[in-house]
Amino acid sequence: MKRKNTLPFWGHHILENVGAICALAIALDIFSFLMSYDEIDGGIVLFFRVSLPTYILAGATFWMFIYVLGFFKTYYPVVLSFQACRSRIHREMAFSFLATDLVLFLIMTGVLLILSRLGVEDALIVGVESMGLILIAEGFSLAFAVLYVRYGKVGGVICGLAGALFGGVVGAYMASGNTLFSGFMEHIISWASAGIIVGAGIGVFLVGTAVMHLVFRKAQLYI
Amino acid sequence: MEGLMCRNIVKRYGKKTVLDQVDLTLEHGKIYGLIGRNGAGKTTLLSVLTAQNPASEGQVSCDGLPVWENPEALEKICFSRELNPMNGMSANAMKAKEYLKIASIYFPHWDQALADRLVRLFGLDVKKRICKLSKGMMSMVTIIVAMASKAEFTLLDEPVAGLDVVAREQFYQVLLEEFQNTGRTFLISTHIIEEAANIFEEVIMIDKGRIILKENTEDLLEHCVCISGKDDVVDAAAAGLETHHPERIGRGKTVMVRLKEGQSLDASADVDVRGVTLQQVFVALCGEEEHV
Repeated sequence: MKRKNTLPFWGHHILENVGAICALAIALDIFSFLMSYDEIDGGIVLFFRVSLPTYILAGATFWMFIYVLGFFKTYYPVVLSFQACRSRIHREMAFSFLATDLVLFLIMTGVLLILSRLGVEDALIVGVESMGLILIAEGFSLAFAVLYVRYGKVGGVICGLAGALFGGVVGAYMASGNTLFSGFMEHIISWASAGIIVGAGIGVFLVGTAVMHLVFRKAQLYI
Repeated sequence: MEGLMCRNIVKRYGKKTVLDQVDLTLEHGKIYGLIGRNGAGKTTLLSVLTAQNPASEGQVSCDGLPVWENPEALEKICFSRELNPMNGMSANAMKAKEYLKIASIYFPHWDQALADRLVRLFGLDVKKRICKLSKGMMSMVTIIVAMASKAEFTLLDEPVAGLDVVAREQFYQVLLEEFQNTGRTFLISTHIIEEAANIFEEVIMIDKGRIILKENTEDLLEHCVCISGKDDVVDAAAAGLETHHPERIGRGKTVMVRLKEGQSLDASADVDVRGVTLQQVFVALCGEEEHV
């Protein structure tokens, strides 16, 4: 049996997602700075050092939510039409998300080390916690993808409301110039909390993947 | 090698049965034509054969291997279906280049040189989004995927829809060339029957979710004739034979007769006997409805 290497397809998506998340994080950070300019102490450099990791996290959760929904509408039917083995596609998709998360973990840890000047151990802990939160977002995104693709307009409305709610929270946070999230993260920098968060992330991700697989494993393909 | 087989396939959507106890075997090294009226179940049958749609009942196998969720079997199969221009998302959002690139990644025997040649032959602008292509150009994309996939069993759903006559001729040329070079099995569903009739080694007719005919095209056309003449003379000549699609012509009558093995028409009957085309056979077999 001749197997085709599908890494070029998934690798392209991983790089695209990481690039988009980084660009989005920087854009959000600049926008937040401009919106809350008068309320910030310490200048732009200090602001970026403190807030960029937060916006990488916010950008990652938002972007992956959009990406998952878009993937199921655009790429998933096309890929399935060429290789109608659903379990294989679902498996490759899950691994591509994990690979994206790993790259984001490295970027986040690097940003924390260089910009925030956290110690190596603290930076690793925060990186792991962030990855856990991204996994939670991806798990929910996979479950929302089921709603969006399977249940048409109703599913789309629910996804839209969820996205709007999340965007509203992030927007309000940005407008406040608040470093609440950063402060919160500083209080849970421990391997125990990292373990709990990443464990929860893996759990939610697995549940989301399982829901997606159970719903789509016998779904009719529409192009 | 058993070929691509389906046994007792039933497909239901709610209470509606779209495929009803379908048994079909596609052997290696043949070109099949699949013809049927709109809504007969052609696309559903093709999608069930290729595991893009689960059957409600029944089994599909490829050379003895179950097809459903089986990469080993699925690697031998390509279903190039008609792209839907009304769909706002899915493949229509992509550029043709990206669509073909994904196909090249996922079909294990993909022939990039053939794909490039066909892109040049058809004059396809691969930088355009699929939704911006004309219907004919969309058909060209599906043809390129089907041909370049080099899959042992290649199923095409209305590949010539929207193609002009020159492009259709090009497609038939490419198909025959590919068949002669590789001996792949092709199954082509089409509404443009007469053009493709010379290419089909076997023809499969589907009507209301059932296979009503699967026969060698030449044999079928040899055994089907159209007889016309006076009512009573035609009735007498066709007595005991399978007849279809009776039509009144003035005071006379014409009817298609399908002869079984060993049967023949009475040579002394005073009727006019003509050969029929595949399209006429199809209309006779599948078009028997009350006229409003």
